[in-house]
Amino acid sequence: MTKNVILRVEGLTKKFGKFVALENVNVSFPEGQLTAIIGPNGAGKSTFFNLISGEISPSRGKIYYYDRDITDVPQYKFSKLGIAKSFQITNIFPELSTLENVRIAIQAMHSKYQLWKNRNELSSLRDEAYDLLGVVGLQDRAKRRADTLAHGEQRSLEIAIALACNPRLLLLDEPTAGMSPEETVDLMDLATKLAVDRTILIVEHKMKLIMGISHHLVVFHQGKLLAEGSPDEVRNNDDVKRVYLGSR
Amino acid sequence: MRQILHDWGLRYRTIFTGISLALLPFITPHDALATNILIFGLFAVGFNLLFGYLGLLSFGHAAFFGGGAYGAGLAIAHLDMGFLGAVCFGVLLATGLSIIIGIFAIRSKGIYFAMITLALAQLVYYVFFQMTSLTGGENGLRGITVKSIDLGYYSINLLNSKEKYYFLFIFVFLALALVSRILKSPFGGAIEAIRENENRAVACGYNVKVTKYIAFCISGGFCGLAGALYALHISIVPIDILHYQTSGMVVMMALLGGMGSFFGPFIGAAIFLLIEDVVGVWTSYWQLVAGVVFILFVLYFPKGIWGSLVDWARR
Amino acid sequence: MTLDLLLLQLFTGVALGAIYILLAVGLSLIFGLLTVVNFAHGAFYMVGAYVGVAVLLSGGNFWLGILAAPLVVGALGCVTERWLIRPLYGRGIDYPILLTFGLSYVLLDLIRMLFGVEGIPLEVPGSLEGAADLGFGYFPLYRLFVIAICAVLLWLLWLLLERSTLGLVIRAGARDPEMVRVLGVDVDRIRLLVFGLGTGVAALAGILAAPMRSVTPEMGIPVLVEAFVVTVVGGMGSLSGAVVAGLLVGVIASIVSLFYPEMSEMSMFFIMALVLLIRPQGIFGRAGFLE
Repeated sequence: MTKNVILRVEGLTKKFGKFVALENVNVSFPEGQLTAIIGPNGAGKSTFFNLISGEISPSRGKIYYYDRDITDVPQYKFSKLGIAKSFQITNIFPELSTLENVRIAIQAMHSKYQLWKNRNELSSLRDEAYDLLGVVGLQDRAKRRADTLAHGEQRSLEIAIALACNPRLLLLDEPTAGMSPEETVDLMDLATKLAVDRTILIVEHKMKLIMGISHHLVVFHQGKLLAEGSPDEVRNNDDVKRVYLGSR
Repeated sequence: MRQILHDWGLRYRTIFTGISLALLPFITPHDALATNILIFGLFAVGFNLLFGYLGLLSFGHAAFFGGGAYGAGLAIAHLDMGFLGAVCFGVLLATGLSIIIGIFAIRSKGIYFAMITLALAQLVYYVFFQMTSLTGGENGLRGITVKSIDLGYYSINLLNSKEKYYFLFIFVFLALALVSRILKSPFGGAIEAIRENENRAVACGYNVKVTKYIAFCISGGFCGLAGALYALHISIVPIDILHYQTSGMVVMMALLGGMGSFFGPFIGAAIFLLIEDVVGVWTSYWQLVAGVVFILFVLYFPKGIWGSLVDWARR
Repeated sequence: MTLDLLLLQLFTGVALGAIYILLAVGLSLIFGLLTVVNFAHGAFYMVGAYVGVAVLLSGGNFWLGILAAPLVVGALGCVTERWLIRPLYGRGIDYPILLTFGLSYVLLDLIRMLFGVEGIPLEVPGSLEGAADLGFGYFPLYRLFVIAICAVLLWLLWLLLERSTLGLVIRAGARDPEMVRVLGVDVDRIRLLVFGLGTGVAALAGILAAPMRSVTPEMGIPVLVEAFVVTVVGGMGSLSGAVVAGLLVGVIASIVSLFYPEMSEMSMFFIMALVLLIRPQGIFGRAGFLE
């Protein structure tokens, strides 16, 4: 059974002034796979994520989502397309309640400009938000202000917000940053569960975990695509060994 | 306990505010002060929609307050309309101005917004200043007194300050009910999300520019209503109503009372007007006092009086 | 409509533009480094004019006034930054705006208390009275003086920013305050100095403009708007933008007043509206500080 290609980038390049963050990257991702994006710091991983989530525009190159050219699509349309990202630096709505954080994200998919109804009486959205909090284990924090949550809980909320638009392509940018070992394991389990019916791209530094759960690896180095393949293939790749042995 | 009080206050805020305002004339030394608090409080509520709830600081809202006032005044002076028609015309003119100014202002990035709204509103001031035959120019629009409203079986005597107060109160109360409705709607949720984290709101799928623009126009409309009521209250429209000092005044009222709270703007209006009234009796330098008080609030009580209270109740 | 009249009006526009340039430069300096929009800029301009008045009233002359105004107001600016603005860093971009607006209220009433509400005339000094023959007409000597002072100040500013170590630190601090702090520079002190410099330049504009307009406590109120418009046109944080925009706005206002005098005040707003539509960041906006 051949899988659809959910995301494909061609000649993707991004320059910030004279600094070349990403150069001529060509890679495609089949549907339903969990791919880890790895590489030393400054390799261009976050820039790559920012490009494919619509936050920034490429200097050159194209981005295709299924067969559609989304290179020039404005960022706010990405969630409707089914692409969502959880941020590397926690990016929640601080003074809103935990439940509202997720509810408002779900609401974006339905009624944005409704001026008349009471939003708290849209029970379907509230129930959906509550369920999502359950997926990340935050239901008992539902009524608390988001900025009173512990760091690890906020990282989980990050993911719940990203899941709110029911994405087919989920981008996780260093989701376990600052989490305790138990929380990290929980998150990796969650990622594996989610990967069953969607495509996941995950940027991570914690090698052992990533190797364990990924189907596929993509290695960046100094803005270029260095290698890709299954965990075993990448592990035995000479270029990869050189880069990582050197930078450790 | 605090949480219960807070939730209860949130649910019934319109009623609570309405009752407070209905009782106001019995607390204030004279009715003119109460009427000013009523009207400027509404002005501040409209402004607060943009400033407290959405997080956009506009220094050009005089254009909408003044636009509403001039609209109502012109309707009576030149178009021979009645009270209701004048108010509608005022709101329409103010909303029209906000639609035009909004196009320029919303395109600008955060920190420039205050500057650009100030400059654009000042342009409106200069234009109205020049159109002397229509607006009376420097001398303002005069001769727009409405003495009474004939309801058939009863005639409201607008020369009686208490009757006038409660008549204007009806408009303000209805406007507040509408504002509360909007704030509780999905749109209201969207503007709070944008205030809390604009980047994330975009990532979630909100078209932030369009949302801001709509909020800007709604805000302009409510401020226009306040302006229309003001014109009919003082029976003239002074040209300075369009000057940026008026914009600055509503900014101060909003902060003193509490941005991002429903009742705060009225408290803020009351504080400001009381300083003008009370301090003004002893010395003509009441602006010095107002300025110092405002600076102290900016430094130490940025949430304003009511805002600080609401915050304490939420913790 | 002769060419001579046009040229004369052009020069008037340049003199007007000189004042605008000084205002916009001060505003841009403060914004470029501190990311603060100084809503008290018009008030500092006004205080500068009154320092000149005070100097004259206490027996000094105009030249002393020109020296004193920027120094006194610059010091006032430093105090303002240290005690009123510094506590607000990290709170959000709107707070300094709110605070400086409140400050303008306070300064206005303070000056009223000290000098009264009536306007006070500030005469052109004897040595600058009269007009010079420029070939195509007689142009007031004082206005030539204003243009000259503005040019000198721009040159001094350029020297400071491009050729001195302090200037280097200021420019670096505008680009990356964190990095500069890590390198051991006292960023707080630099902010203080730049705010004082910005307000000092505004005060200079105030005292230079004083003989051309009248000195009243309210003189700074319309000036704030003018400063904003010129800065938006030129690009916030850009000094070359301030220069170009100041000249453009001044000259156009001057030329327009020949044909439609009622529109000349408003002409700058239309320029600004145009810029906002076509190039919202301003003519030189976003090119970086001091380019």
